[in-house]
Amino acid sequence: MAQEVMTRSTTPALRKPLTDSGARRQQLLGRTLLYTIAIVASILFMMPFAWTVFSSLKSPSELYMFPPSWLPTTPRFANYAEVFDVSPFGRWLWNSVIVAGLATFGAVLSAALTGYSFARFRYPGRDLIFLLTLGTLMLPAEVTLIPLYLLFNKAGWLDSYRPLIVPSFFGGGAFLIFMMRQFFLTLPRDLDEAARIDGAGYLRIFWQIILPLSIPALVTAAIITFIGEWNSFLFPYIILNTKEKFTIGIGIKYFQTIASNIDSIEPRENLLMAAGMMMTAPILVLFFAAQRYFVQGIAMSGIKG
Amino acid sequence: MFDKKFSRRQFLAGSSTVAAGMLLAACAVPAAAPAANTTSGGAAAPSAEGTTIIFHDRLGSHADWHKARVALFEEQNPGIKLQIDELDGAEMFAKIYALAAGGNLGDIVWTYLNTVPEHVRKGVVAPHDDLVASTGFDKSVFWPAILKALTVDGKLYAIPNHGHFGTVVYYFNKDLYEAAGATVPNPDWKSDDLVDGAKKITKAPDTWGFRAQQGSEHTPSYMRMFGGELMNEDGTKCLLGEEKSIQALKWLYDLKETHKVDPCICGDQYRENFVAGKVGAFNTTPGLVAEFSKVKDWKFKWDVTVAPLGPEGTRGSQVSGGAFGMTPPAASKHPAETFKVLQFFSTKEDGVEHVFGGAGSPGPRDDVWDDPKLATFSHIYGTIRKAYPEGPRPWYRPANARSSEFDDVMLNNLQAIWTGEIGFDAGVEQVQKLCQEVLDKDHL
Amino acid sequence: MTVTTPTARRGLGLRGREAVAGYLFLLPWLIGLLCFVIGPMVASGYFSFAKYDIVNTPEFVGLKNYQDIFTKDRLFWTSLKLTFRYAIIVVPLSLIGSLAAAMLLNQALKGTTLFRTFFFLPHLTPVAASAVLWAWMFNPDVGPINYFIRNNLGIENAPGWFRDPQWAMSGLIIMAMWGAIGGNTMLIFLAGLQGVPQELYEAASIDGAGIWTKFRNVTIPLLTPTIFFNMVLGIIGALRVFTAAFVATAGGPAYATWFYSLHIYTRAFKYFEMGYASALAWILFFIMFVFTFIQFRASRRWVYYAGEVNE
Repeated sequence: MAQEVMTRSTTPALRKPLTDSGARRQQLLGRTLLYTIAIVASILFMMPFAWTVFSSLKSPSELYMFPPSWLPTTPRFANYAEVFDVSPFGRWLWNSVIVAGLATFGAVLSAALTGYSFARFRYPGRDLIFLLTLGTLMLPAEVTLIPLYLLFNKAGWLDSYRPLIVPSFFGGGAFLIFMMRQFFLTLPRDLDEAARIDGAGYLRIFWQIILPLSIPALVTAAIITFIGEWNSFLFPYIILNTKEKFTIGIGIKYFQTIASNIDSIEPRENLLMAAGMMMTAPILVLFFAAQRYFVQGIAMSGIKG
Repeated sequence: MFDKKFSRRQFLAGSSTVAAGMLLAACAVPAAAPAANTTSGGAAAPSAEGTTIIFHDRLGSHADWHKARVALFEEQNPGIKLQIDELDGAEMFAKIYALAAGGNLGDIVWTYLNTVPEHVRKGVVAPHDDLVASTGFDKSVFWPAILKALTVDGKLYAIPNHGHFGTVVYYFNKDLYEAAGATVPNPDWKSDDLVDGAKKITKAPDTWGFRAQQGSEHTPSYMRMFGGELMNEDGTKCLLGEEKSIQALKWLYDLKETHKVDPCICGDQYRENFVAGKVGAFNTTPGLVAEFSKVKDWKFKWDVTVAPLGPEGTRGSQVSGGAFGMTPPAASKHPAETFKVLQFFSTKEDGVEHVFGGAGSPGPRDDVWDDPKLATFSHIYGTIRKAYPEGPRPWYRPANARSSEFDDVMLNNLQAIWTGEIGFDAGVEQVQKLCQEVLDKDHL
Repeated sequence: MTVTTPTARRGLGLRGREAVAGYLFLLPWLIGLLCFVIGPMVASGYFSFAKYDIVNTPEFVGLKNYQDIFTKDRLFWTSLKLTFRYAIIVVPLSLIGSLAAAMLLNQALKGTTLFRTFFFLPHLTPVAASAVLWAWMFNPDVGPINYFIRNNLGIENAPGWFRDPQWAMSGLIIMAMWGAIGGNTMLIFLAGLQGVPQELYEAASIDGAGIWTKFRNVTIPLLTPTIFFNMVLGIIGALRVFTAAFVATAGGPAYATWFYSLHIYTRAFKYFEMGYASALAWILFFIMFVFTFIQFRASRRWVYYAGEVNE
């Protein structure tokens, strides 16, 4: 498998038999160009993040120096410790791991089920329901927030994580469903047909054939969902009351206010940046770890070929 | 898909599914009729041993200070527990209204002077007059201007906590003034002195002489400095287009366009730039004095003074501050205990300690501002009292409670003038017209 | 496309069983759609015909909100125009940018894992941090961007960015592109690129196709479902642009970045005119619905699905 991954993600150009040195040189030139672009783009993309890292290590007086400086004179790691002194930051992080983790699991699983239904089955009303599903993407969340609040209030779910988790298990939202549907549509139908002829049931086909082929899409969906849940602010803010129950999305907003009030009016964005870094670190690790699934590929060739 | 017409049967089946769904949803969602739910007295259940009062407070230095005072309050008032619920400033009211709509409101809400009518309209604050009378609470110690702002249709809807004269405290970088050989701001300075000093200090693009800000907290004071007004007392007529008000606008306009001492009349990052030593002077509330005083490693000498006199010797001011309102009986089951909290946070002692506790401005009463202990903290309170013997001037608000909308319209249309999107004269005409339109709208 | 033989086994044909299975797979979403989406939407639809301040009972006012929006609300047309202007620039740029980035990351360069993470970093920077960052970056006086423009490019009259109505939108677009190119859109393109069977490239190579031909005739056609998805979502996202303006400009200066969603938010959570905000939202809903519908209609001419079921 691993070997197949390697070869699969190799560029076609590389695999072309290299007959003369001219082509070789041309190819070398092409690779150099690609690396240059990738490195320059990386630097550009990294800038805001790097700035956040460096600022998180600055002393207050360094933050607004002119001319502007990127690096702190001496890195102040104490900023990170201070974040935990002035707020229940660790608690907030843990809450978010639980909430975002469960919500992501539910959302990806149920969105895959729904997307598969839209992509593979024929039944009356399918296209209408799909149209309706897409339509829900278009109504701004601001105006459904209060009705949702009242709904969960009636259910007695306020100040609990249920409103943040339970709905995810019912479809995971139009975005994910649409995404999974589009992805399943690209899988050749012969896969299902072959399995059906072998006598496999719908659920087994979905579970044993379709899902394993969809790992890049599932991982992408999971990352997108997790980041969204991790950062979400307004809905959890309206739902949760107890400070200890806050998720990190609310926590960071609170921290913004707290940071500007810690026994000085000096800019304390360094603490905000440190908090922001700690908020980002878990998703960064997650993203880095999930990467290998991006290139796992859909081993369609093996089945089709 | 979509590229073919739905068959009739499909359509029927689909739409009946949808119709049934909507029906179901309509039943399940009580949103269409948010009843004034009166089941619970607060977000948390009252503790067994006594009454718990829930105070929806504003997160930050204020709530920190209030939390620090809880122990003292509970010691003075046995049997009453005070619970501070900290709400993030920007979405504080959204949360309070959601709590109210769900019947989960606590006992006390924070209110600003420009949001009182809105709170009254939404029923999140109740009249306090009966309790004021029955407890013999002396409200005459507070500035008349702040009581007026907390009164709607003759009823008092909140008890003041802290207050000030508006954004009439001018913070300045003494080193920059001295280095530029400019007259250091003093209680007798005039609007022209401000311009002169700022001109000497400005070294564009990084050092600016003055940073003016805009908004309903700031603009009326500039207007009044020149003898103008933002709106009439009733809040029905916009007066931006009156001669004296235009003078004030022209003065601001000239700061940027003619004298080039302020980059934008927008105050972006004025605080950070001031701390970095890149701003000659800026104005805001006295609240920052308390916070600035805590900083030890200043790189320059700073001081504060009052707003300059206008060309005709008039001073501008506008009362401002924060107050706490008791929620209606539906939400607050313990009005007597709740009122004790309001009293606790409005005493002379609290008004003075508020500053020392780092929360911001002092209590809105003369005996606090004249307090000798407060004078040891900063001279500014005494300086302001001397400059404004008549006390702060009132805050005029839109009669239709559309304060936020008025502010947005004024701010953006003034920005159009400051940024040169529109000429000065045409811009003034436009801002006057559009602000009047807001005042002419129906009640919020 | 596939042959389905109608076998009338046990009363329920293959078609019937397929339909039942389809509904069963759909069931969780159907419940979720009704309870958590359509219910609240119906409520907001009702609010749009009412005066509703969140706390008090909604008061039915008929078409007044809609009437006011079209006849009295000066910011309605302004915000709609600004939003479309933003979308027209941002959608194509971010689609092309993301696709290019995804293809670059699909080239099996050494260190791709790192590059991919770097590209994704702007997306991971918390909004609270990036808001402070961009305010500082774009600060016309002391920010690094103008410092660079003045000192390295020698241009004295540097832009005013978020202070200048003429430049504020450009600032926001730069900000948006930074986050968008390496963000979700790129990830989805990557997942899509992984689905392009390698042997098609090989076949094309054997036929002597160059890089461009392969891109044009293999990558693009097979990627059309993904492109289509990203385009639909990109347009919806751009028409709902909110966060950038909310944190960086508050819609100003002089309404230069007063996007439609900001208008809705302001009405809903600053002025607390939930009824009016709901009406605004339903108008946007309608506009986006029409747009999306047109895109689906047009899509049959250019989107190719390998496994679609149609009758």
